[in-house]
Amino acid sequence: MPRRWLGIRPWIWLAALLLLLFLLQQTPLGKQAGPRINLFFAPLVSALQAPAFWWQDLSQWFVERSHLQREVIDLRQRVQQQSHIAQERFALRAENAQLRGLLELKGLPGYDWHVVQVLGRSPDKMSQRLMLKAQSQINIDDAVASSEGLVGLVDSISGHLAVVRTILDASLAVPVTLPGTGLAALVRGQGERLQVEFVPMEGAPPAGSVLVTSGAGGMFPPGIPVARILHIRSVAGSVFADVEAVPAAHWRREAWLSVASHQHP
Amino acid sequence: MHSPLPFLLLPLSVTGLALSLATGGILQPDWSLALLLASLLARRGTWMWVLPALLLHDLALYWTPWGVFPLACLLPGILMRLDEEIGPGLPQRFAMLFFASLPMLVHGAGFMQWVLTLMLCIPIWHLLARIYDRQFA
Repeated sequence: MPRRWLGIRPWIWLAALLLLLFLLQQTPLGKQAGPRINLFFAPLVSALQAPAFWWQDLSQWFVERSHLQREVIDLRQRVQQQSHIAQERFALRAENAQLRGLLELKGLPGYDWHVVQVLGRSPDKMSQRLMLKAQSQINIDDAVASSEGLVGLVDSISGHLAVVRTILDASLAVPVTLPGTGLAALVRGQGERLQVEFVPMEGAPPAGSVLVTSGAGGMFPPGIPVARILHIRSVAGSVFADVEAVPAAHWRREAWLSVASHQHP
Repeated sequence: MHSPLPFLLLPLSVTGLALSLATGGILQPDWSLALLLASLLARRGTWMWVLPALLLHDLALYWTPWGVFPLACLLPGILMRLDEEIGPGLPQRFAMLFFASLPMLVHGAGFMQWVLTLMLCIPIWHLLARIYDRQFA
């Protein structure tokens, strides 16, 4: 082989490797490689977390009685409050059904809610991906929410383990609205922040407003808080404003989340 | 493989990867990346098992092969070239360490996480270099 070819041979190998990686990522198999590897790691992640759970269980034995009594009283008060809220919700649901009947509108499709445990998080600053362990059956594309707001969408599943793509991921777009207005916008992930698209400059909601899911498209249940608006800037030559927001939910510390599965007839 | 070290370092790296996934909400170094880059810097010849492990690292944590892996592919070649040109030394290795670990910042890791990873990588690198020197002396 000529000597001058020996010098460029490593670069040819490197270019071929990078081309192979590029082609691999374009295939459906390559696109699912990340979530699949995460699911493969789930048993090891679970094993690493086991000592922390054992410690948590063991530490329960050393909690003072007075502390537990205070906690029980506090929880009883909360249960009372929750039962009032539940009664109010049933009354509102019945009223809503009556009003829908009057308007001859179809009810929104129902969802089954399951509680799931957070097994792991991606180590980036905002935890863009989560690993969940569910006791009940969940499906791909089920919406995941915390008590504060929407978290993301189930990306892949293996048995009772699931990987979630959060709303900070650029591949997710959530249809949103501002309650009491006719606003219809899209919230898209930008790594650490959210971008709200299609918000007209005229009538744009003020900073601090909380946008909720509109239910458009049927992917996400309506009415779940999604994003809190941070800044609104006008863009020269565009009718839409440049709107930056942060997620309403804080999933970095949550140990439990809810999954909304579509009810199947 | 001439050294038994890969059989210890690879499971450690996989455990580090799982640890990063298990405790993702906490500020911590990228355990697996620190160990793999340290192995590569301690001995260029380890690329045969370090590079596939780095690809696995990128796919598991960033869900894309375009993380640390492409830059790490360049690292053994550049180091060999620089060692021939200016003689073996630490400055080019430190520069390569900074260069190869930079994609962490692009993929959402904070500055502190990057610094912690470098601070973990450097002592491991020196420890491994000493072990390799003893083995191959």
